[in-house]
Amino acid sequence: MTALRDGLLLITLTAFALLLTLLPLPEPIMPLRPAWPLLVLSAWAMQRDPMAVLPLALAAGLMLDAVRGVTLGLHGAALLLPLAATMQWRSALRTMPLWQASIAAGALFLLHALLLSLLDALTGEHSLRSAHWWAIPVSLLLWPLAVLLLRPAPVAKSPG
Amino acid sequence: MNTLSRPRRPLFQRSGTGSRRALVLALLCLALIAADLQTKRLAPLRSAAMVAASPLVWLAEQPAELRRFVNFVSLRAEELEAYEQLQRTHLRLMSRVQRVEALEAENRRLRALLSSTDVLEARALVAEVLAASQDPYQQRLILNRGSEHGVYRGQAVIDASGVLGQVVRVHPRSASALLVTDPDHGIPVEVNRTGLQTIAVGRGDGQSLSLPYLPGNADIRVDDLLVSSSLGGRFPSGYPVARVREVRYEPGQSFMEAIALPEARVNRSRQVLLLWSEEGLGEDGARSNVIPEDAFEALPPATSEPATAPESDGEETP
Repeated sequence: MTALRDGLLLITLTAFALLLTLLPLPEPIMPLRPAWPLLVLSAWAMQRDPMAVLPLALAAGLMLDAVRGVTLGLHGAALLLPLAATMQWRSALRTMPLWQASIAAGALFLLHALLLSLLDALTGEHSLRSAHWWAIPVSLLLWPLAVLLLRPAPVAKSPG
Repeated sequence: MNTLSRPRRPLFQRSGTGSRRALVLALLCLALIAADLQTKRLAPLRSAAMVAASPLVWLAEQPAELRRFVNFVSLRAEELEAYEQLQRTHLRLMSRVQRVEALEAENRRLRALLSSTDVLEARALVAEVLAASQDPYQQRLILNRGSEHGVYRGQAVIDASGVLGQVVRVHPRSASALLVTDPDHGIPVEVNRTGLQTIAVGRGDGQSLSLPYLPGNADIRVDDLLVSSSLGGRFPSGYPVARVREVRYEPGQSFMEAIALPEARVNRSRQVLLLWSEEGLGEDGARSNVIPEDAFEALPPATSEPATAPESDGEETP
């Protein structure tokens, strides 16, 4: 029951993150748009079931590729590598104080931005204006918020 | 030792497998990139992803749509006014276009009824005015086109606004034309308003035409437009000739007389048009009922070339 609810919640959150990514913004604040899908998925992977984010990351990546008209797999790779890092150091991140974990998460967003611009350059399209480095601090500021919001329910926490 | 390591192991394992799967998926994505760059076989996957994303795309477009709608509603007053003005102009022009179309259709119908073929002539030749005679009794123009260009005697000469006159003498490379205001010139005209046919002759003052011998009850008024009539076969019909300025009725006389001012810019045109009428081709000279033959003898010698005299004579006698 809680698994189903969690699954629906994760799907909704991912869809919302995609929506926020696709939403047209005024030109001046466009570069400040945080990496919403990675924000949501990494916070989820840290606080809830980490395996559930993998198919959603793949699906979200493919959707972004299709909508933005770039090579298929580009966004998926840029999402999944930071998520793999999150999972690798999940237990360490969970035991850290939140401010230290946030700094560590900065590496995730940096990796995401690097991968996006690198893959975009490698596929030779440059159709993606991905190098929005100013979005990294914005994502970083929002990340602790997402982590706090996705805290596991106290019932689930007590046995663990 | 064994008991110490046991609680740790599943923790590392679990996180390790998760990251391993994520890495596998990331590698899959890289393979996708390579495949998408190499082949076009991934088009179904792309379209499936697009279909899945389309609700999100639609949702993402809604704020912009809303803003567009708000912008549309809050159009400034001046823009609205400009829009309304354009709308009014458009309506007026559209109604005019409709009227023109109706008139066109009516015109076609009437022409079909009359079975007339008087389409305005398409063949025309531009000629330069070389000289204009100053003699009030010999009002003529010398044009730079002649028999080499197909000019024939009796050919109508017009300018941008109306009939100027007709060619009376043709040389190989020049021609002289008699103006409508010359006292020797007569042109069959039609009152545009009523269709009354009459003849307009030059008055010799270089400015006006006279319509003599009008019946006393003729329907003719000041400002009536006189257009050329094909009566007599020399002029193409339908070109404006003159506008009535004065209608004279003298008691005791059996005829009315009207005075008209030519529409063409007599003596002010640098370039004129020579028109071909169908009847005129090859039949010139046969209908020299308007021009007395002696009008040609008094041509200014400066412009008539001796070599051309036999040729023009030959043209005059068919």
